[in-house]
Amino acid sequence: MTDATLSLRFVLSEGKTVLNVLRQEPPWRALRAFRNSSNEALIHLHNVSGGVLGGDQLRLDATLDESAQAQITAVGATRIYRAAETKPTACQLTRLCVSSGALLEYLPDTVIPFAGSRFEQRSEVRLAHGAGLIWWESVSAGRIASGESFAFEKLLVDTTIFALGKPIAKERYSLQPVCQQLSLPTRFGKFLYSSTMYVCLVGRKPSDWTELEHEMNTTAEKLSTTGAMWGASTLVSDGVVIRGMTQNGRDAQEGLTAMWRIAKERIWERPAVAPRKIY
Amino acid sequence: MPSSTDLQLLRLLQLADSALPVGALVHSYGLEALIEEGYLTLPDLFHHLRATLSENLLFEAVFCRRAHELASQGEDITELDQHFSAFRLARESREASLLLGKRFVALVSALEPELGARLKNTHFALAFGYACGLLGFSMADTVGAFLHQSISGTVSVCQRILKLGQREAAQIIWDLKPDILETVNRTARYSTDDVGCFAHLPELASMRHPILTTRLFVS
Repeated sequence: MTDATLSLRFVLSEGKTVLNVLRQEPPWRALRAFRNSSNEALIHLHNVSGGVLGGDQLRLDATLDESAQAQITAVGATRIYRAAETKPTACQLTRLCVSSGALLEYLPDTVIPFAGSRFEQRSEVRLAHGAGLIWWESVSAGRIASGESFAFEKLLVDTTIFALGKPIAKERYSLQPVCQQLSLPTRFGKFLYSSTMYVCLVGRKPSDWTELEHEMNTTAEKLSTTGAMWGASTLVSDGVVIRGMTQNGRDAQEGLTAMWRIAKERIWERPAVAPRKIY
Repeated sequence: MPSSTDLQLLRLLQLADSALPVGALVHSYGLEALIEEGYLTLPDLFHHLRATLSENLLFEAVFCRRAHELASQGEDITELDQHFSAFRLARESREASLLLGKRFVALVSALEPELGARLKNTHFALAFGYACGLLGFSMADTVGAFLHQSISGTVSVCQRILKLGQREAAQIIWDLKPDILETVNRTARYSTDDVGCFAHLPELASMRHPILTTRLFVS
């Protein structure tokens, strides 16, 4: 059981985004920033415990100064381990702050809640005028390959994105398989993975988002099969959300990556450069 | 001459009628796509509605309840409406909810002109709660009426898409009344800061509704 903070700051120095690690407590480990072909700083987050242990209280803070460009990913899936009954619910609090002209791509791997685990993931993103965000998140029903699904005790997700202090996207849900029938069409239906992606650029004109919604829904239609369902929608302002429900992790990753590429090309007019890893 | 309570009951019955002329009958909030794409079938309908009451409608009812409280305290609901909007990720459903709220406010303003200046165009759940608060209806009656109207509207949508007859539809609504009351009671255990709902599949269906080839409903 650990109480640990990782605090990062990305600053623009001589045209390049530089990472400053302000605070790094185990099990957090930020692997050094690489520069990708789009001149963005790429960092991999690593949890040296191998996953989130029962009772862990983890905090991630990242600030992007004006015009900084950063891509944050993880070295692997976020495994949520079984918790002893005596341990408090594990929690990760993520707070991201993006300044004007900056772009943050937050692209972690799938959250896998193991049997008997309890986890709360609370995230807050604050965007200034002209700030950009690409955020994705994928949650699985458990260790599917081991035949384990919806065997966790509790998974709570609470995410808010603010633009100029006003909420533009909020999501809050708590899954407790013991008291909810998750296979109902109100919930997961026949699917085992739920994926969400937010694409935001504060101040971009509404018609651009309408066009992007249309294009993404065209792609969503192509990605949707008997084992996957995708859709996109404009937010209240300044962005779009993409949602995917899939039966396997590969389809989830392919869908998110396809939508990410479209967003990067259309909104930032540069290619999406994949993190240095194999999905 | 009816007593004040009797008059309030009659007024609430009118405002909570699913046939209230605010345009609710043309919106399915993604249900049409959910059925069209085969994710919801008639045998699952009753369980689906019960689950909807315990997730999506509980969520909306907590906001309806808060709007009622704010009306009773004479406070503004603009910020509450912003938060509700941010939770409504699917554009079509969000716009439908706002449009219904706007029409509801216009109707109530016409029925009770002295309330007009105190009402604001908000999402329907909030507009309903706020107007009922201003009209002096009790909290429990307001939330119960809101949920009953929502369930009746949803069943009406299903009657037009699924092979659901009038008697079966009436039976479903009748049988769900204990769940509606249970949901009213549950709203007291939550605030708008901690209530949540997992409705990714219906929400996704709402996102995909604009791309359906044939559509009966606007949302």
